[in-house]
Amino acid sequence: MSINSILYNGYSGLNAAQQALNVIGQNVANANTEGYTRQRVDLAALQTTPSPGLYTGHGTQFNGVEVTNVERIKNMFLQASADQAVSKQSALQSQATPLSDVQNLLNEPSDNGLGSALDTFYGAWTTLGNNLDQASGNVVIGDGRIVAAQLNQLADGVEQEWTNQRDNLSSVVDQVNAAAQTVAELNVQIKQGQVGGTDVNSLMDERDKAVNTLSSLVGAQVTSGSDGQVSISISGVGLVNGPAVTNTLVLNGPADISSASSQPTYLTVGGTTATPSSGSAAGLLSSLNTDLPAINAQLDTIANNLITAVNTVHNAGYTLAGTSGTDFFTGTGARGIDVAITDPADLAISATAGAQDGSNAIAVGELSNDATASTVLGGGQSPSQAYRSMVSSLATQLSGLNTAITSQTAIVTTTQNAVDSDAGVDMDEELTNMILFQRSYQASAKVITTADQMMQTLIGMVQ
Amino acid sequence: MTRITQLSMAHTSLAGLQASLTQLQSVQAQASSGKRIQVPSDDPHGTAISMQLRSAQSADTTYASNIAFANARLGTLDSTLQTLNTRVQQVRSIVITAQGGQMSSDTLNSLSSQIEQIKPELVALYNTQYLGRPVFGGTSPTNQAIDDSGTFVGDGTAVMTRISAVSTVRVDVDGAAIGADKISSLMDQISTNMAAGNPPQSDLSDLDDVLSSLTTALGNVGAIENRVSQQSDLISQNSIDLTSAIATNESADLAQVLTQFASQQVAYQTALGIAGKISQTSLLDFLQ
Repeated sequence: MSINSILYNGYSGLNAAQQALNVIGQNVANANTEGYTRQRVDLAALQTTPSPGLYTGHGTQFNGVEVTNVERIKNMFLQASADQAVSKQSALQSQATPLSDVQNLLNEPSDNGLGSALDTFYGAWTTLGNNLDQASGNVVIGDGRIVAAQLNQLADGVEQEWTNQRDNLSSVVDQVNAAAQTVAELNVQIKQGQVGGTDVNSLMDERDKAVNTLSSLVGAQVTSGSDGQVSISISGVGLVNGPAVTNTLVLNGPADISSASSQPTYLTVGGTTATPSSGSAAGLLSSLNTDLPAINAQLDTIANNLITAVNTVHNAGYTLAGTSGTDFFTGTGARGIDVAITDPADLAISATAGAQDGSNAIAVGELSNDATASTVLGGGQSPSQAYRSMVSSLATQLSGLNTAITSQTAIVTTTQNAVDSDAGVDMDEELTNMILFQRSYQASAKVITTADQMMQTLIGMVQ
Repeated sequence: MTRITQLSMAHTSLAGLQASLTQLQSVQAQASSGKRIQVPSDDPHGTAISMQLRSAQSADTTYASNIAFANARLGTLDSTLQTLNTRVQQVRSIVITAQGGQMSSDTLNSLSSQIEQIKPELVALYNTQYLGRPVFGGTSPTNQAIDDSGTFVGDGTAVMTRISAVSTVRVDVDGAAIGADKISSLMDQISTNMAAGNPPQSDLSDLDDVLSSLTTALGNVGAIENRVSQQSDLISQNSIDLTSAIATNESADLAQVLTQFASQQVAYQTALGIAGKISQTSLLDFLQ
């Protein structure tokens, strides 16, 4: 043992304290960085194992301290459960958004929705049946056009919503492929870094962020390999395997809602169909394949039943001039419905040819009664009833989703909190550590000063 | 023990602020619109009820306008029938005067020409129109009940109006039932007989038939008017009930909303105050 070794011992202490303060500085600087994981220096004492010296009699050699590793403190299980919670929340939210948009289009309950427009339309027929005049006939045609236009608008709105959501899904697919590429590249760098012994903690943070994105977009599953690399799969089909992007996520299916009910929209990973159970993609898929086509079909039912019911009654009557009634509504479906009659003289107001009678117009007006309309339709749902049940089922589904989102948000907050408590930076802790290592630095410096004084004492002895 | 970090505290207080603000916004929306149901998903069941109530309300509006139509037509019928009654009574008294006997032929001629004067007036009364439609002509394509040659051209088809979900009422009187089919020829016959000097008893009994059918028709119209006015009361009562039911179903309870708003505001302000304070102090404040 020599005084020199005391000097070096002190130096190693200075070095370790410096590096520890450096890491503390990094933690403090990144306290508010999204996705940053706190780090800690792992210190180890350097000393030789005491072995009985045969001749020397020397015991242990004390060589100070060394920094063995800068540890990244993160519980991967907490992170995984937070990812899962977020991905379920994204699925619910992306399913609820289009429904909520459609709900806003409906404008119910109010006096301006389709329900009121239908009632007004039927009321106009009754007035015409009483008054038999041209002005009332014009009102009937005008109110018929309002009903048709509202149905057109709703169908158009639902179609637009479908197209928007498909664009969203398409962008989700692009983001997933980009994130998969990022994960694969970071896998390579992390492996190289670990082999070369360099610090890869920030790269791992970066990769965690990409994995979070994948999880919230498609509910991707993550498997960690022993070599520090991760593999990503979607519903069991591999997307990233270590350093390579093995497959690409592809969006398939029709480009507009008209064929959505017969051809589903689906995702494939390398040719195999992927069915994500969570993530935005899952919500978007159920909205594209189930929710929006169902609303579209219900709108068509409303329109077709209205066309059939009104035309059936209308065609059974006669105009005041005595000619047989022709179709009042033309077209099919909510998109195609339109009023065929432009001249009030063509309205089949009378039930008897050649009579100045309003009973057929009154009969059209009585379609406002659900039971009457249902009889005319041979047992089918009356348009108003079909509309009410559409609004009602949409509202029930959305209200259920909203409740689920609220509770899922609470779960996300809890799990994210757990991650933050574990991996986040605590200032008080960092400051305490700062004092600790500052003192340790001062003490190590004192050790060096003391060793120096010892050296001087020794040299002075010789003079 | 859970480790608490600055980030988790910030996230927690932010989530709390968000939740508080969402609540505040929902209460505020209720207060500003006065509606409990902003969108159907706020209360799917309530929405379904509301839409049904609105349908019923619109049916009531239709019934109310039908009732107004029925009232107007029945009023026309009522006053026309009464005038007709008076005029036919007048004819009857002329016939009785003529039957008194010992009239000079001049007097008889003048009485006969009086009858001829009354005839077009009677025909015009039988041709009374409401909104361009003859009220005694059924659904006849012409707008007369008795044409210029004195023939009855009505078709006797009833004109019906629905005044409630279950009842319809007739808002015209068949001209044939009140003598429109024979009034023209009867007047001619009486006038001819009178000019000839001796109006027979049969003329009088024919007139009595017309009079009695007019009285019957008046009674019927009165009964229908009565029914319509009862229904009108029912409808207006029902419509008030429906309006109040819709209001109860859709409107926000303002007292409750305002109380909620006040307490929610306090909660939000508290959350804000706490959030502003959480990160103000740290160990740093005590290190020199």
